[in-house]
Amino acid sequence: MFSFVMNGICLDNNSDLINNLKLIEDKMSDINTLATQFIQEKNLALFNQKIEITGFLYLQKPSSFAWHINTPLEQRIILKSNNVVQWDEDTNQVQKINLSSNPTFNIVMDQMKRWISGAYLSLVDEYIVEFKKSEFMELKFFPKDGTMAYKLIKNINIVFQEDEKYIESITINERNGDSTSFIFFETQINIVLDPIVWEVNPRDK
Amino acid sequence: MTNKLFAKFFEILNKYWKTIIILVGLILIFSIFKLFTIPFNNNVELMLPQNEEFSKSLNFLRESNFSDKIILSLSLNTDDKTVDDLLDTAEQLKNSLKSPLIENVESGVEENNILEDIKDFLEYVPQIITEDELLEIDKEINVKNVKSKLKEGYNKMLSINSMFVSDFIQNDPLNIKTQYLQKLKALVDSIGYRVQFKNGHFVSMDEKHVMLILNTPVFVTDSTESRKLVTYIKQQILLLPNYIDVDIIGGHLHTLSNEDIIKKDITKTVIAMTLILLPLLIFVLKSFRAFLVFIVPVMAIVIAMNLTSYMIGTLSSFVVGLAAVIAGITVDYGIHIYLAMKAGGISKVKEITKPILVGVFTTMGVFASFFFSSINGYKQFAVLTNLSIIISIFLYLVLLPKLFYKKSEKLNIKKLNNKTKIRIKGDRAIALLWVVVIGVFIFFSKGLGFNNNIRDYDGSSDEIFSAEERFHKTWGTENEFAMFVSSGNELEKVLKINENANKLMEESFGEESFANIAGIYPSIETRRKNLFRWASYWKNHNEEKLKTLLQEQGAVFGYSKEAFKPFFETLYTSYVEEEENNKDPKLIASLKQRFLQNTGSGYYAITYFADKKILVDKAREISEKVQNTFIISRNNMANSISVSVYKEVKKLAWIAGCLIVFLAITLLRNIRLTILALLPVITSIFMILGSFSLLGFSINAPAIIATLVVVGLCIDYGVFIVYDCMNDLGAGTLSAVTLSAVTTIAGGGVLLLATHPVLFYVGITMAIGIFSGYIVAAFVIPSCYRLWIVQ
Repeated sequence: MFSFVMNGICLDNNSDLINNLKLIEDKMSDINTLATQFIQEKNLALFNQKIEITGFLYLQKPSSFAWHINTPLEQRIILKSNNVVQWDEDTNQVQKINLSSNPTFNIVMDQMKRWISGAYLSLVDEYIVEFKKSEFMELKFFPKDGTMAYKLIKNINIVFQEDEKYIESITINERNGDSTSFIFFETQINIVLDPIVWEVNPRDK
Repeated sequence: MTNKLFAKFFEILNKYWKTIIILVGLILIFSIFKLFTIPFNNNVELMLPQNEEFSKSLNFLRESNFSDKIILSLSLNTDDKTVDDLLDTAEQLKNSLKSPLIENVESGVEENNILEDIKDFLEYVPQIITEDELLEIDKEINVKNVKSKLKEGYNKMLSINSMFVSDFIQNDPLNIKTQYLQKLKALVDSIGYRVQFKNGHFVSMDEKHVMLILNTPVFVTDSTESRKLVTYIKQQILLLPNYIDVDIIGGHLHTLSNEDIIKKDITKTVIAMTLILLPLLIFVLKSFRAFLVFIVPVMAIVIAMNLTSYMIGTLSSFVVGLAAVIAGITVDYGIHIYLAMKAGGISKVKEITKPILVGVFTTMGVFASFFFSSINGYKQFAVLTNLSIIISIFLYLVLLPKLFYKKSEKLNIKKLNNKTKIRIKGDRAIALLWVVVIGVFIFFSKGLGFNNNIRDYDGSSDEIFSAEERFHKTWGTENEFAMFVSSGNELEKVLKINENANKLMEESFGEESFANIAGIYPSIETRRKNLFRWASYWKNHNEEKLKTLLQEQGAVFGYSKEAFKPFFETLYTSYVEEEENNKDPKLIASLKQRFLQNTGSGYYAITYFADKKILVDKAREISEKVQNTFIISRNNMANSISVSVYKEVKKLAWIAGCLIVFLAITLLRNIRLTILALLPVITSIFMILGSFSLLGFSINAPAIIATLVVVGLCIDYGVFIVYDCMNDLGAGTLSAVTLSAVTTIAGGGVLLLATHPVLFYVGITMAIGIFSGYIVAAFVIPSCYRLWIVQ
């Protein structure tokens, strides 16, 4: 009887969570294009000090995604469907990667696409999700044992903007003690994106 | 002398005929019951030549796990569903495939532990770093290179996938070990499939197909078990949702399809033959009892099968099928005896017994030539066919005269003869016409080529070929691989042979690539040497040197003091596992399945390369130098089989030809008569060759075997007509020859409708050969006889 009741409670909680995630997904599904600035802070055991990275993020549904880093080193990562084009000012080389032949990169890009596009329902199989709503709406993801993410990630925190239209910040806490946080600001939704954001042009050194 | 012998033979038959018939009846009943206990072998290998290279290839394919795979390629047939639905269905199908006929189902690779698997591999790498490579590493330990690598690492840490790379930078800051992942990747890519992994599944690049690989204990040539296996798989596929299509790929399907098509073709032939024979019985022979003439070969083959099984053991189904068809030619002797009986009773039968026996011996001579073959199936074929002929002729001589003797109805042989035996006055014109026609066909036969491509005999259905084409397009497996195999009883020895082969192939292949596991999995001895060298190198102050460089140059980029501790901690942790422990890194273990095969009694190490003649020749040269190695090339094997079959058949054709001439001369005891009797044989051979050339066909092994059968029949026609000319038998000889030719041409003609290429070639050869042989026997021999012998 007890387990029956408990199952009912969990089921209720679970269905609430699913409903909330569905609501977020519905809201974010209105986003067709997105342009936002970000500050990324990396606290890594490998380095003495934290690394601060600034840049822009562009998104165009269904499957285009651009990651422009301005400091400390200029970098471009452009994803279009299954192909990634990568460039950095240091090497000034354009590298083309087919995600099919690069499983680790594929996993990263796939996960990033889900975090920033709001496709959270698809993450329920891999993560235990906690939903919190106080001043800001907040989602906490704990990787389930046996998944690939479990080996690397302790948890992921997503905080939404006040108007809940988009994400305010994402924090990834890794198992080895490293952590990375993204703060998004000056977010523009459903604007016409300049085609240049999908281009990578090596410069003359 | 011969006549006295026949008289004695018929006297004995007459005296004891009831006992003989009862005895034959009992033997037949016993044989029919025993038929169900005869062990049959459906293995096509029995019909293939036994040379050393081919045996090795076949043993390898049997012992390794290459041929015992069936691949299922699942695809969506609607746009409404996604790749996730496809993956779910693939998982459902994988879980449903539970049968002793399926050992396991491979659906992809587990991705969850990929990072740990890579780390395990990196720890193992010192075991495979060679002396030359260590020298290269030493060159890289300098300020400039260390600085450059650290900068590269720093940049990587700014990237989006830094989470995955930080461990690798800590464990391998100079990329010393990580570069070996490329070697590993090259080996994985050599597998030949264009594949990506999604949720641990093999997924096509267009994300519309998912692949399952079924490992089965059923060998590809075992048609009985193959049928059970394919039926089971098809049943499970039927349970899948209707938005999924499944292509089944595997050699087993070819075995079954060929068998099914041959069965269908034979059924077609039997029906058509029945439709032709029934009117013959009713309107020409005017007796239903004449049915006995056609049933005797069936009785003979039943008894012969039992005797052959008693003598040899297991019978090949292919041999039985082929021999049963060929034994059917003995019906010709029955027709001769039947018509002789009708024409003049037992005395006429006695008269024609001699030419019949000459025909029997020469025909047996043709099939006896198969005794000289190195192919076991052919030897079985020789025993079974000759026994069938002997039993048939005995049954005809015992049964027919007694059963038809008392009957009053008489067939008007004279009338029938008048219809078919046309007296031609212009013998010279006929002889001349024959010379011209044969000359023309000899001329055309000159340009005829021989097609020894055994793949052309694959009569599998279009459905199978279409599925394979789709599969190749989807999964990019158009390129065929050949294999260089190192073999032996102990793994360590095989690995050493493989290392040696790898070295020689590197020198010989030049730009051409090949995939050998020796680069990442050499012998234990080599790995121990490598490891010892690696440890000595670092202990020789190089560890300290690198530590200092990393600290000095790392400080520029803000690397912490302990940043590369994991690299130094794992410098000496690698150790060589003993063979039996089998604790290789997972990434290597999964590759070993493809490159190293444990057969239970020994090991194979396999090197893959493109199946091109130039490379196969180079590999063969190496194989000749390195003991316990051999080449497996699909193209080469097909050629090797084809060439062996061609040589075999050519040898048999020569033996059969010599035997026929020898037997004809011995039995006819006259050179001129022998030449006349051989006219239909010579004519039919050149008509077949010339017609093939005119029709744009190449001569091939099935056509040569069918020609041997034609030769066996045509020599009969020749012998009968020569005897008829000599003795004016009046025993319906021409009618009998006409009837047997008509039935055989009809049988061969029906095969022209066959779908299977082998049966088609047999059909066209029989039709052309028998028709031309008959025309020459019926019209040219009498004219030549009158011109050459009488005059």
